[in-house]
Amino acid sequence: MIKVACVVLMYVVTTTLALAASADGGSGGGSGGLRSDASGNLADSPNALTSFTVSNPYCYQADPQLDQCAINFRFVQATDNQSTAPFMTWLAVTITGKKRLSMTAFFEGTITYSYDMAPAGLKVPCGAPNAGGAGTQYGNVYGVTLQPLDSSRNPMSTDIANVTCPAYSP
Amino acid sequence: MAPRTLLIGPVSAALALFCVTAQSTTLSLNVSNPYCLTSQPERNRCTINVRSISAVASDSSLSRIEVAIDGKVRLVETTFFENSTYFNRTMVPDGLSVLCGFEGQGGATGFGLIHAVGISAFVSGSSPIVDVANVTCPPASDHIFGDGFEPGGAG
Repeated sequence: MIKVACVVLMYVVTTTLALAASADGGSGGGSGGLRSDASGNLADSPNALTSFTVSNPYCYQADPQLDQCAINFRFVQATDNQSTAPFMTWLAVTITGKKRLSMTAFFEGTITYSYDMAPAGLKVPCGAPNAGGAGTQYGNVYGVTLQPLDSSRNPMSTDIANVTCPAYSP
Repeated sequence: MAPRTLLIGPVSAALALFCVTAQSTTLSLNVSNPYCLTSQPERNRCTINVRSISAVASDSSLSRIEVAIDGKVRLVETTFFENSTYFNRTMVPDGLSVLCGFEGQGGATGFGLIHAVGISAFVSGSSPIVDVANVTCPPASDHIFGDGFEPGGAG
């Protein structure tokens, strides 16, 4: 009897936590071989890359009187083995379908980005409270796409970071 | 500010005690040297920043850290398939804008407003761990000149 009660209780709690995690972490889930983490971010496995690391995407609102936020990453690094084609040539960052950053490998196998390379970040609208569905304290939720590209500009890997911005609520 | 470490069970403690043996998440949140400086004192504008913040979890359930000023979220930094988040002041080079307040407005002679800076670390399925720092700002300038210079005498 106690065992049955525990199983039922476990189901209720697990379901509740799963729903809470879903509401807390953004869109979540993954498809087409993409994997998802605790923040609802998506990533696929590097193809011909030896590593592709994205660390700590963030969004901040410098002035609460302005509907202007900035997105940045603590660092991003992609490394190609330089022995097997295709070879990594660019690293592109796209926000809501618009390319915002492009870095080039110049006779080298690694592209490294750090936040201080764009000190003011990439400007985006913060958005009204709950504009992205993350809660009233938050505004837009941006799917930021990071892709190492080969010499024909074909993606070699794709990571999508769900970046939540503070709300614009003057 | 001292580091804070918290053990968080992914399910409620009571449930874990008599139903399952759940693995706990260890979360450590360190906050160092929040500060406020005058950016445009003649316009009553100051900026708040924090020298460093780190949140390190024992597993991948850490989702983000947040910085809120007087209850308003101003920065969200997430994990990306990692167990930690790190922030330092240069990641927001111009700081987060706030009102300086006038001398004594926050209750301290010679200073301006005191802002509550909340730093929260969120683990999936649990309440956040929160540190709150009361950050005192310098006062706004009581001399307001459009060009920032004292008016000169005309001979």
